[in-house]
Parts: sequence; structure tokens; C-alpha cells
Amino acid sequence: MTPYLQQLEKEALEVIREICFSNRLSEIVVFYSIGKDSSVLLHLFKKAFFPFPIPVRFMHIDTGWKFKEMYAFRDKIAKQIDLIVYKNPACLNPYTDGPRYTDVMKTQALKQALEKYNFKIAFGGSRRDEEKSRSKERFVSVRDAENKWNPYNQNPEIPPLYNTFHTDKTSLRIFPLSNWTEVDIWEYIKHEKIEVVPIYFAHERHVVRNQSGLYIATENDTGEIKKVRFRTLGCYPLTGAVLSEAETIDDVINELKQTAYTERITRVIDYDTDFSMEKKKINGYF
Amino acid sequence: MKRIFKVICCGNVDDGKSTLLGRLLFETGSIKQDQLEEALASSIKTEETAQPDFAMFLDGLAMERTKKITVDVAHRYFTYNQIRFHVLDCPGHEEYTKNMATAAACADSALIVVDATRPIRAQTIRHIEICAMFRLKQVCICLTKYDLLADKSILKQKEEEIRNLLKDKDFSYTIFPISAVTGYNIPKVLSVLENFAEQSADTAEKNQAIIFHIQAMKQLDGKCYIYGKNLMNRPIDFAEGETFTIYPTHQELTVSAESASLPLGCIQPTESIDVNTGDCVANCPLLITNKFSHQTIFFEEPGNHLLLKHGTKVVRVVQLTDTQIQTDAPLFINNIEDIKENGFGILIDEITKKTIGCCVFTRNS
Ligand SMILES: Nc1nc2c(ncn2[C@@H]2O[C@H](COP(=O)(O)OP(=O)(O)O)[C@@H](O)[C@H]2O)c(=O)[nH]1
Repeated sequence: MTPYLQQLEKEALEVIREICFSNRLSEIVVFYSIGKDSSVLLHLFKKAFFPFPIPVRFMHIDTGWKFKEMYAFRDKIAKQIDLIVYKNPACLNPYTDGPRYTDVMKTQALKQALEKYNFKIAFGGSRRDEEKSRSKERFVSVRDAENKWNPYNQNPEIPPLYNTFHTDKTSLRIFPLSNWTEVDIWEYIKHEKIEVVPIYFAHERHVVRNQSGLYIATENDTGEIKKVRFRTLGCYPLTGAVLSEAETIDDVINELKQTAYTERITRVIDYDTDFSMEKKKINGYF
Repeated sequence: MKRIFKVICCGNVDDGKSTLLGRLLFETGSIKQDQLEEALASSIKTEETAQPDFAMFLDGLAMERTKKITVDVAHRYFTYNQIRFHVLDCPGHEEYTKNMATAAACADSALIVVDATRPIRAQTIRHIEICAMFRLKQVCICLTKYDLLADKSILKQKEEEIRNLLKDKDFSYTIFPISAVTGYNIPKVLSVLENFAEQSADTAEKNQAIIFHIQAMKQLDGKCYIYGKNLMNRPIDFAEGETFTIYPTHQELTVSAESASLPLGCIQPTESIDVNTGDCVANCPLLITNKFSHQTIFFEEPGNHLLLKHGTKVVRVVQLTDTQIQTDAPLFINNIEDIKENGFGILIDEITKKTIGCCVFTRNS
């Protein structure tokens, strides 16, 4: 492994271990989104506790609208880890319910799930380079009793001297991949031979083009067949594909080193307003 | 790609930090098309310039952009000549000094941005003090807004003033004029940072010290696994047969052959040993003490119940004066003058659990 990837790995392992070893394991959960960052996070959890099994539970917040390839992948992973699947019974529809969909099916669902299982510490695979407000995040991010983020008064932090404490009024979100970039994730996946959902690689599929990008075809509009891949995975109506010939990890890495765009362009969620991610995070989103 | 090099960018508010960093990101090709379009859309463009406001790449929070101030540290990454730079853009406002201090504590070097057109500000002096407190070794001082300077002879005088501020500090530094807007001397900033990174990599290579603070010890099939974090800023490979001292017991630990196949941050000793979370494994002398000469930056007014965390150990503060901290149990430290990485701790309020200060352990104050 190159020294810089090793530094990123070291940093991630340290925070994972420090949080888990200094808190009650039953109050810790790892958010598992099925995506590439979650695959890396899961791999790091295996390494962190080797040769012992992972001592904490994982949880997938389902919306019912993920790609079928994601569900197949999740079912395979569920055999290796203690995975909770939680879905908000409200069951909104992204095509017809608009912006409320993300709030109810993701943010509210997340809060319901934390409450239901009494989790006080939640790990996530978010990275600082994903989005502007995330560039301000801590490794250990304190949330108030309502799970809200206060971006203007965060706990000062000096990694690797983590403050691992919380009170009965606060909970913690932990981001071990804070300093990783999209390319780092792929370089690590390559080096560690980590399995990811196959639609991250170029494949032929029916897609339709609308003003915000290339989307998966529906029954009403079968669109046209294109060779595409996904840079991020989420709910299929909100996740754009990119035209791509990258069929292998090396192809993906080369493509990313040359691409003119960030991965954000494929996510509708960030795009509704300039500061939408910040607002979502303040309201309790990851 | 080689190792990661951490640089803080600091200086007084409005002196031009965010613009400089934005420019560095831009010049190194780290800004993608969609970020550029977004910055162009929200930049207030002046007459003829179709150039984006480079600062727009940095500030991330809504209030920061509307009020044009930086509240919290922004973390950005760029690669230049195979070196991965992690830049920490610090706030320049007095009330956010705490965020600047935490960034300084984990940085390898500093870019200090000084507006060449204005008198030197209190916050610039404060930032220099904080860089010195955390023993940053290399500092690059950029006298920015060179393009606005009608009378270039002012530069000499500015430079002299800054040299005076740095006189009694243990920095190796360079100082030169730049303009983040026209691009003047921007390549020089990059080559200075590259030099810093090379020097720092050389020093790290030569430094064989390992200070491994224990997070947990687990047993399986009669074998013992010790998990921890090495504070020395590099991953460790424990070599078979290497010996270490365990603090505070002074027992000896010999690394087993199996350790080579364990993940980073995990060692297996040849024999079962008695260690606890908070103990330390090191190959260099550490001080075992519960009395510390210190210099502390408080982020808020300290309450009566404080914890001090250093490495992986948390102890209670029993006495705190301007010059000394006394705790209810010993920590395994070095003075910041000797080994920077093992020379500071954080203060946590026992009730609210907030991090309320950062202290460096000094030889004598
Ligand atoms: N002419 C000129 N203006 C600059 C330069 N650098 C920064 N500025 C301007 O100075 C102001 C403050 O800069 P900013 O980067 O936001 O400062 P910060 O508060 O230190 O991050 C902005 O209006 C910038 O456009 C420069 O090199 N030349």
C-alpha cells in the first residue's frame, strides 16, 4: 500500500477502535448504505477488530427505492454482519412526493431508527470532499437531543486525540473516512480487493435523459440503451448515471482522474438549493 | 503518491487566506467544472474579470458565504508533484481562534497570509504565537494583495516587521509577496510547500520513535492482542523481535512474528503481558508524571470539573493554575520541546463533556 493510503487507513482504524473500545457496544451502530464508501467502512471494521468479529451492529435505512442490484448485494453482505434494516412505514414516493421524500424516508427514518434501538453513537462513511458543508465536519461530530448538527459551534477537535464522550443529551456521529477522496476510496478498494455493487462499473442499460442528467428508465418511458455506470448509489429515481466505458477498477480510477465533474452532479439531493446539504445535516441527516 | 502533508492556512480575517487557498486548488487542477460553475454563479464579478472569486471554493457554510467570513476550519485536499496536501483553512476572527488552534495542533507546517496593504493585525500576531506554541517547524509567509500595492517599497518595511515578530521563534521560514488574484508568485508558494513536505518526510524517515498509546488489550486462544495508536505521524510496522518499554510498568514487550500479518495498530507480544487501556508502549523515554508545566488555550471558561485526555488516557484535573496542572493519576508524556506529537492534551468538561481547552506540556514556564 502506498504510504498515503496507509496513513488514511491508520487514521480510520484509530478512530473506529477508540470509539468502540471506550463506549458501550450496544449503543453503537454503523450506517450501511450499500455504496462504495460503506463497503470500505465495513472492510475497515473487519480490520480494526481482527482477529475478533466486528462487535457492533450495522443498519441500513431502506426507502424501498434502491437499485435491485443493491438489494442483491445487501442480502449477500447480511450473511457476514449483524445487519438491521429499517424502513419508515410512511413509504413515500420520490416521483410524486417531491422534497418531502428525502426528509421523511431518510432524515426522519434515521432518527426513528436511532430512537427505536437506542443508539447513541452512529458511524457513517461520509467524506469531507463530497460537499461544501461536509468539509467542515469533525471525525467525532456531536448532535443534540434532537439529533441536530450545530455547524457554528462544533466541538474543537485535534485528531487523533478524540473526545469520545457523550451525555444523555447528546449523541455522536463518527466519520472515519473524513479525509478520503473518491479516488482514494477506489485505490483502497483495488488494493484490498473489496467487493462493491457491480453497477459501479460500466454496463448497458435503458436510460432517459432529463434536465438534471441520465436516469434509469421507467415503464412509461423506456428511453434508450447506453453504456453507463454509477458514481454514487442511492434511490434510483434520484441517482444519475454517467456515460462510461470503465469496466474495471483501473478504468474507474483513470476515468476519475480525468473527469471534469465531481460526484455530486449525480445526486439530486444536494442540488435543490445551494445549501441543501447543510440544512439536511442541521435537521439530523448524516 | 507519497505521504500526506498537512498545512494550515491562517492570518487575520480578510487578509486573503481563502482566496489564496482557492487559487492553489485551482492551479493544481483540484477544482472540477461543476464547482467552478457554482463559484462563478455566486461570485460578484467585477467589470472585466470573468474569473471566479477563488474564496468561493473554500467557505462551506451558508453563513460563511453570506457574511464572507470563515467560522470553522475547512479541510481541502490537492495533489502537487505526487504529494498529497491536506490544507486546513482557518478562521481569522478572534472569536473563532479555538478552531485555528486545533488546526495548528495537528498541522505539519503553516502558510501565514498577511495583507501587504494594511498594518499587521493583532490576530496575525496571535496566529504566529499559536504556531510557535504547537512547535510548527516550517512557516511560509505570504505578503498578499501585491497587485494592490501602489508603493512597492512598503514591502521591505512589512518584511522587516514580520522578521521581528519571528525573531525569537524556532521557525524556519520564507517570506515573499504574492497576489492570489493575478497569480503572482503562486508557483513559488507551491514549490515552497513542496520543499517543506520533502524536508518533513526526510525527518520522519530518520525518526525511529514509536509512541503507541493502548486502546485495548484482548486475549484469544492464549494469545494477546494489543490495539492502539502511534502518535508519531506515520503508520507503524512492528518488526519481529523488536523490544519496547511498557509505561508505567517498565515491563519489556517483544514483538512476535505473527504481528507482521496483523492490521495496522495491532501488536502481538511474544509473551502474555499485563497492560491496560491508557498504558503506553514506546521505544524512547517518556515522562511519567501527574504534574505538568503547561500553556493552555481555553475555548471556553473552564468549570470546576475537568478531565485531561492525552493519548488514550483520561485523568481528572485536581489543580489548575496559570503555570501548572496537577492530575489524579499520571500520564505518559513528553514535553512539547522534545517530542511534539506526545506533548499536548485536551481538556474536557466532566459535566457537559465538551472539549474546552488544549494544553501543551512545556519544560518550564
Ligand atoms: N486585489 C486583491 N484582492 C485580494 C487578494 N487576495 C484576497 N483579496 C480580496 O480580499 C478580500 C478578503 O479575502 P478572503 O480570501 O476572503 O480573506 P480571508 O478572510 O482571509 O479568507 C476579498 O475581497 C478578496 O477578493 C489579492 O491577492 N489581490
